[in-house]
Formats: sequence, structure tokens, C-alpha cells
Amino acid sequence: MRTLVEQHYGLLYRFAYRLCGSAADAEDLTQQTFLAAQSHLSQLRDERLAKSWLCTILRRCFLKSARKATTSRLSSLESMEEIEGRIPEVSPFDPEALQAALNSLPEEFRTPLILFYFQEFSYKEIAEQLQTPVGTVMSRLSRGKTYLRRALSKDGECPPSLLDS
Amino acid sequence: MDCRTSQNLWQQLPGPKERTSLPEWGSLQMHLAACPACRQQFSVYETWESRLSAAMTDIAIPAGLLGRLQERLAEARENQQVQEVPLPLPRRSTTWFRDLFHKPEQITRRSAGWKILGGTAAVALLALLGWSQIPLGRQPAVDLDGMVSQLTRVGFDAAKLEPFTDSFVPRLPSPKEMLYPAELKGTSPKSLSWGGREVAAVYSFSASRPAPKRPTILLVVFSQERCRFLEMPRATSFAQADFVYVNDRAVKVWWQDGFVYCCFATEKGTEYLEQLRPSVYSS
Repeated sequence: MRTLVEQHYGLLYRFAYRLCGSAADAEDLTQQTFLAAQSHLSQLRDERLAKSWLCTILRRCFLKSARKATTSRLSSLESMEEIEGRIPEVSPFDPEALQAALNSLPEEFRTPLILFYFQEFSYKEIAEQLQTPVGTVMSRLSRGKTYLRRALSKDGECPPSLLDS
Repeated sequence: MDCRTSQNLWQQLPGPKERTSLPEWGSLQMHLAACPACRQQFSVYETWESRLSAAMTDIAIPAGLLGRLQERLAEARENQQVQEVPLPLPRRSTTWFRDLFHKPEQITRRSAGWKILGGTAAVALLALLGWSQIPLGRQPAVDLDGMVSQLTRVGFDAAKLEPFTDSFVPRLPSPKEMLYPAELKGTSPKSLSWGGREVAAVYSFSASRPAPKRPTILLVVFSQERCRFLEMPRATSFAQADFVYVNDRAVKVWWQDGFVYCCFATEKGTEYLEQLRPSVYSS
């Protein structure tokens, strides 16, 4: 367990941070994830899958706490069009703006985007973690990327061709 | 591959490690080589994506996070080990002389004679050993009051005749304090001992109350000034144990198979009150 923590706590904390949007919540979520992993360690058959396994636990813990908090953040897929209408006018890659843009995305779009940009997982692995088909993951990623580009761009800072794609 | 198809393909491209295995990757490369406009746009797209990826992972890890995580996990492991203590505890560990006093009817004349003879012989032997000043390994005196007091955080004040005397009558809750109207029919108290001293008395009350019926109420008294009623169904376990707070110290109390168990959480783990001598409780 100690090795698992040492190897993956950084990734899990970052993933948690991107999901929650705050350092305190991220630390709590990371801790909660490792506690759950420790008590169910026997379920991990293959150590090579530990990273995916831990991320899946973390996402479940996050969804559970999000449900408890009854945040209205987790909206439906249909709300994407509405979200696209309110693009924050901030400079790209400003950390706060990036987090704000992620927070405004529904969780089913946010999680694959985070996992994709972490460059730690393949489409197939992301699909397995989310328990959705690979095609759905790709579609959500495509829409999520478009949204992020819109949200993080000010006029002239992102080529119009990218916004149109 | 035309320009539109290639642009659509960018959106679907996986990460750099995976993309070369895509069947369309070769065609895309060929199109980019032949089309300067797409090549330029793809370059912008790739730059954007790599910057976004870097920004996404650019999160500082809080100082000492690893240590805190390891510490919390170790705590959880210790707690798990404490809870894995096999229960229930031994039913009886009363000493032979207690049976001698408590069950006189079972002692036949013959066995009593032998025991009296044996006891006399033992006393004589001890007197002889004492007289001849043969050094015997003596156990150091145990400060039972101190130990119990430390564990329970309850001082045993001789002036108040604590913990319990025959004349002590616990203060029963007034009807206002009861959660529901109940008629209490008490039994005589049974003691819980630790280190040879009474540290708690347990009273049993049958209560008549509306549904859901709970057959018995226990009153656990940890000193003459502090007592608390607990409603405990007969079939209970450590997991369902109730807490009694004695001077802000949590004591777990539960009833299993006719025995009442109490334990304290201490710095070293769990200390059972009946660690040395389980108290038998039956109503």
C-alpha cells in the first residue's frame, strides 16, 4: 500500500484538484481514495492496473460526495449548448480560468478531459474507467475540447480556425 | 483525404503515444505534407493542445501531503486491527475461591473437608516460609486505584464511598428525562470490575413502552455522580455498541450473549474492562 501511495499520490491529487477545484477538497478526496483502496486492496489483481483502479475509486468518491452536496454543477449532457453561451473573457491558461472552465463543465465531460490531458491513459482506459463506450468518450472529448477552446480564448489569442473546428 | 476530413480527424486524435497506431494516421500525415494550410493549422492545434495539457497538470502538490496520507492510512490500519479483536471475550474467569463462596450448596462435606485441610496446610507452609525468611519473588504492588482512575478518568474518593456501596441508589431519570413513558422495574446491580476494583455498576430495567419494543434498559454507572441509561436490545455486538462518556472519555458498552462488555479507547488501543476478570451479568 505504501508503494501505491508513493507512486500515485501526485496523480491522484492533481486529478482530485481538477475535479473539485480546491486544494482542501482535493486533499480530502485523495485521502478518502487511498483509505478506500486500502480497505479493498484485495480487489486489485494486477498491479499494472493500479493507476486506473485508483482513479476509478477517486471518481466514485467524488461523485458520492458531489451527490451529498447536491451541487447543481452536475448537469445533463443537453446543457452543453447553454454553457457554450457564457464564455469567460479571460486570458488562456490562467490557472483560475482553466479551473473555472472545467468547473462549469458537466462531470461527464470534465472527467474524460482531465484524464486525456493528463496523458496518462489511452481512450480505452478512459472508457473503462468511465464505463462508457470508446466512441462516447471520443465524442465527449471532442465537445469538451471545443468548449475549453472557446472558454479559454480571448479575441486573437486562439486562431479562429480552431474555434470553428 | 481532404482538408475537412483531416480537420475532423484532429479532434479525435488520441495522445501522442497512441496516435501512430491509428489506421488513418498515415493518410493524415500524407495530407499534411501536401497541404500547407492544414499543416499550419495542425501545428497551431498541436501547440494549443500541448500547452493545455501542461497547464492541466500544473498543480503544486501541498507540502507534507505524502506524510499526512501515510499517517492517516497507518491510523486506519491500526483501528482495523483493534476491531479485529476476536469477540466475545471469555465467558468466565472467576477464581476457585469465588465459587467456594458463591456456590456453597455445591460443596460436599468431603470436598469441603479436603479444602479446609489444604487451606490449613497452605497457611502453615506460608508461615514456615515467612519464619525461615526464605526470599520469595514478590510482585511489585500494583496501584489499582491509579490504573483504574487513569483509565476511567474517574477518581475514587474514599470519602464518598465510591465507587459503589450497598446503600448507593442511582438517580433514576425523571419522567421528563425519559424519551418515552416507561415503567422501570430494576434489578440489583451487577458490577463490572477492572483490576480487582469495581469501576462500573450495571442495572437492568425492564421497560414497557410502545413499539418498537426494546426489552431492556441498562443503566451503567461509572461513579456515584455520573450515570447514564442505555437502551440496549439483547442481541447486540461491538459494532452496535453504545458510548458512555465519562469525563469526556468515550467508553464503549455493549451486551453480547448475556455479558456486558465495556472498553476504553486508549493511546495503545482498546482496553477492555474485563481484560482481567470478566464480569458476568445476567438479568
